[in-house]
Amino acid sequence: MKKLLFVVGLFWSVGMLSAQNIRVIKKKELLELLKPSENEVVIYNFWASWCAPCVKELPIFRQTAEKWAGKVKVVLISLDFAEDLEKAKKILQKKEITFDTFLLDETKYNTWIDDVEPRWQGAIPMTILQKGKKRVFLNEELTWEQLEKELNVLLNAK
Amino acid sequence: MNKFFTSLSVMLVAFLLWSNKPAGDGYKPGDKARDFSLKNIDGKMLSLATFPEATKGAIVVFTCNHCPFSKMYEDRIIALDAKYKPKGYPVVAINPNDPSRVPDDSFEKMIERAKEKGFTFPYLVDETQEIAKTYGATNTPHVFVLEKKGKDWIVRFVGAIDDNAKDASQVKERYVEEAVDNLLSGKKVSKAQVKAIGCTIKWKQS
Repeated sequence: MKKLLFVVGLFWSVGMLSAQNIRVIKKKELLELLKPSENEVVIYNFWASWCAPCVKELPIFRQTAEKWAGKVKVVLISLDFAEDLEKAKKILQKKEITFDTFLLDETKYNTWIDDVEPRWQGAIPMTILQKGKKRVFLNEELTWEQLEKELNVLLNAK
Repeated sequence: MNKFFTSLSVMLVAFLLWSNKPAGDGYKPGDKARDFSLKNIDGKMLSLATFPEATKGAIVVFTCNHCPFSKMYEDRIIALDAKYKPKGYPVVAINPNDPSRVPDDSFEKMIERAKEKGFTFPYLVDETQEIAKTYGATNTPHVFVLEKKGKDWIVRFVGAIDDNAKDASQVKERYVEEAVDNLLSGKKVSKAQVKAIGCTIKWKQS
């Protein structure tokens, strides 16, 4: 019986682990993440647990990752304070986001915002769609239709 | 000699075009800012020209009630007003958010919040969002320090209040204070544009 409980417990904890993993990163790793890829479209979304429109649009990124698995990669970057990691994790779990995500632990915002996107003034939600040299900068809350439309343009681009 | 005048007039035309450029992308340091006439929480209209304390300039802060980053800065905005109003640079807060999208940012809630926090400065509502758009405000809080030059208002600083939103005691760089201090001592603003994370302005949906 004890053994059974242990096995169940093990599965349960593995399940929890795979449910959501947020990697805390610094600017250097962020810039690595942002390096353009020729083979796939990458969606970068900057969000935070305190940002209501960000939380509201999270499901469309899950849908996108599912619909275009293998073609589109979704990179969620939380701008929550590092000590609010659990808050961010809870929201991602509630929104059933199981792929790995990131939390950027850099609160000197002026030292990296321009490196991400010079047109960006720092308002979130902010989403970038990128394939090779092509980049779409969207600084607003997105709908599924909007995201799908922008994605199709990039996916069909030669 | 002719060539000289041709290039001079080309430069002059270019300069005129540049100085009259439409503010589509918003203001940058050095641009002339437009005045406005917006409703204050006391129900009266206020413009920069009729703001008696704005003798040398103004610290225009686009902010709102609901945004967590705006809330983190409320006390610091009050402190800015306390420090710089006597020196001729009072704070003017403007809420540009569409209250139909964020009920917490309605005019009534603005009056409530100002009372709760004891705002010492005008808290105006940009109902048409025209001022936020013209200035190029995108997030809250978003600061524009203006210097008064005769009848004109010249943008001298655009951006963030300081370098630590979460913890005022850990602030190392006070961008707005440095900018106003520079102006008060007749110097060029050393850091005229500073970006920071904030909430998007909630634009009206057409």
